[in-house]
Amino acid sequence: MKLEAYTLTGGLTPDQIGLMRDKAIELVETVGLQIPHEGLLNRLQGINGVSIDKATQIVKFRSDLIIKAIQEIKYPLPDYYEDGWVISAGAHQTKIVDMDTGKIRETTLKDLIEMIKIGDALDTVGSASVVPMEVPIQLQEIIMHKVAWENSRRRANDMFEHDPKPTVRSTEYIYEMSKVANKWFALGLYMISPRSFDVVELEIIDKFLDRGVPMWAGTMPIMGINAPITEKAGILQAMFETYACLTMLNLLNTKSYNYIQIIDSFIAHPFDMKYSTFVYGSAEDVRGTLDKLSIHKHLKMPLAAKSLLTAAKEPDAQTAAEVGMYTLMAALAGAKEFRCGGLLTSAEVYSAEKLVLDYEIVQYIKHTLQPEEFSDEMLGFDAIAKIKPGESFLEHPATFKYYRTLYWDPNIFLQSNLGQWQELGSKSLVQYANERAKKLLAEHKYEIEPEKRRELDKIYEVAAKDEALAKERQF
Amino acid sequence: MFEELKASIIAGDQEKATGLTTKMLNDGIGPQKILKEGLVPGMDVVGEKFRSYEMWLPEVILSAKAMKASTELLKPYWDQNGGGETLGKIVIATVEGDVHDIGKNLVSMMLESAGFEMTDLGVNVKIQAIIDAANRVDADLIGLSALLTTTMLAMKSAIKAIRGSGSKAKVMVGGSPITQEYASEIESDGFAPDALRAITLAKKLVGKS
Repeated sequence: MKLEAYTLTGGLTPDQIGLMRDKAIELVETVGLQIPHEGLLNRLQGINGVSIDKATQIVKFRSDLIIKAIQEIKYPLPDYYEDGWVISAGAHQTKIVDMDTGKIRETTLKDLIEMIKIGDALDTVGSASVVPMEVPIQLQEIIMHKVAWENSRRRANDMFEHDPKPTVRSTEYIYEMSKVANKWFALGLYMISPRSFDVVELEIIDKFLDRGVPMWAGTMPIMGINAPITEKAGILQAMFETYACLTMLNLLNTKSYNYIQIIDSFIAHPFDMKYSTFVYGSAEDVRGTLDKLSIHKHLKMPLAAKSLLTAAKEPDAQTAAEVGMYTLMAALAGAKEFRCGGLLTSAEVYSAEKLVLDYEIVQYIKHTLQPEEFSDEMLGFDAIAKIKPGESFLEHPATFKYYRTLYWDPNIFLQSNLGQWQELGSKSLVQYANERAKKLLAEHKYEIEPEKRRELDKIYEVAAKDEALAKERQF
Repeated sequence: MFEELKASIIAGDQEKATGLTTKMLNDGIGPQKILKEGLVPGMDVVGEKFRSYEMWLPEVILSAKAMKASTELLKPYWDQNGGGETLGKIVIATVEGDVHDIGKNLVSMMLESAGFEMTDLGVNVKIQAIIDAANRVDADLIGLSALLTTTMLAMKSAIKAIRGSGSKAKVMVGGSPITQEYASEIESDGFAPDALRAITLAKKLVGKS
């Protein structure tokens, strides 16, 4: 018999969540959102239950359309999700801590390949980690997908990614690549709070409505900036915007399914007015995530938390405290996926060492919360009754049965004694993380099948010569 | 067959190790040869694997048990073949005021399996009893253990008393609160952070590394 799993109690009640949901639906129905795209407005024109003010481009949806959209959500969850403890590496970073010098510098194509490989070795999911800054801007997102698909099994390859598709033409190339590589492709639509969209994203959606690709709705309001300063109001605005966006997609993208993005869904992010910075990993950010998880659980949505984020500038005590506490709380609240591994300073810098440390912290929490067996064997009554004074359990059958498997064997959280640690060079934890990252990179094996790689190369060559693509990105 | 014996020690397979040892003795192979070419090389590998954290404590104990059982079989043959050479004689004890013995027992077992002749005095041992035992067995080494920061202080006076007694035995120290710095400060001859490293240290101190 397994012991009952530890859980977190408190927070939003079902009634409070229900009230927020009703208020969000009311806002979609009575206030509406702006859709600054003629083509999409024309597509929505005439649908029963949709009202459009052409002058302001404000669109309102009747509540039954919203509820239908929510009911028709489909989540293509990967097989491994149910087991939990999925780590998503941070994405789209332009600065990195150099693994050899320890200095922060601009990211390169070499970094992109290496970080994808290290992430793959740690079974991470999510989008490409870093942006190859020396690659022409119009090709960056294309090569980020290409490298992720060529060098990893799970990166950019399921619903946990949220890679940007910056222009229609680059999206076409990425779509074509996904088909030849047999990899995941979905289109996301992030709202621009309050209540509007990026025109280019709408254009991409418009062009892909006939392709039968999954689409998702997301938003990212910042408290006190583009959302009210109180956390619950921020969540309400996020719910309102997400439901509005989802309803639009549900009405337009009828050849595939639509869903609410699980990363930035019913959450608003805190903004530090003292430093004028976007802040992650703070007490308020943790609280927001716990509320988000309560809402997701109540609405039977997948459970993810950006709990590997920290405002710390290097892997230090602040990192450990924020990531450890945030992840523990999120795990107790039911989170199965932990996001933004490898990120420092509120998602400004990528660090391979930090990803290795995040992995270790998640493993630590996983083993702490692991539901244990309760049985006669585990209780060990006979073992205790039979031992004689002065004897030891070192040679007891149960010791031999379990000594390698019952306890967690950390990779870098060394449990050695002082003398053993000194014998190994008195290295810091970050040095161990650096060594492990380099070892994982050196031993990484996965690569896409050669014929698929050749096809991806061909598409990339065409994209590299595409003058229209370059022009579109400049625009 | 020596390779097989060595492998059985590494695997901690006592039945196989003693079976092979018996067979080799029956075949007329000398006990020194069995010890030096089969048993000791096996324990050397165990030591290396433990130091690199490839082998874990219970596995090392099994190997040590297999080694000990096989060595016991050699003893009756030693006199006929020029006597059983040991690496040295060691008196080991947990110092006065300290009743912890898990670490000391492990060290004792490992040193014995490595080929040292051990005299284990147990826990909470008075300094004079340690000196007397060292003189009685003509010890090459004395091993002092302590678990507590309060009792480790007894090591300093113990070493002073041992030196003052005219004993030729060198003193090695170990235990959770002991550091190399402390070991040097109290003028011990050496410190090891764990049981397997104690073997390396003991061999070095008796000039057989």
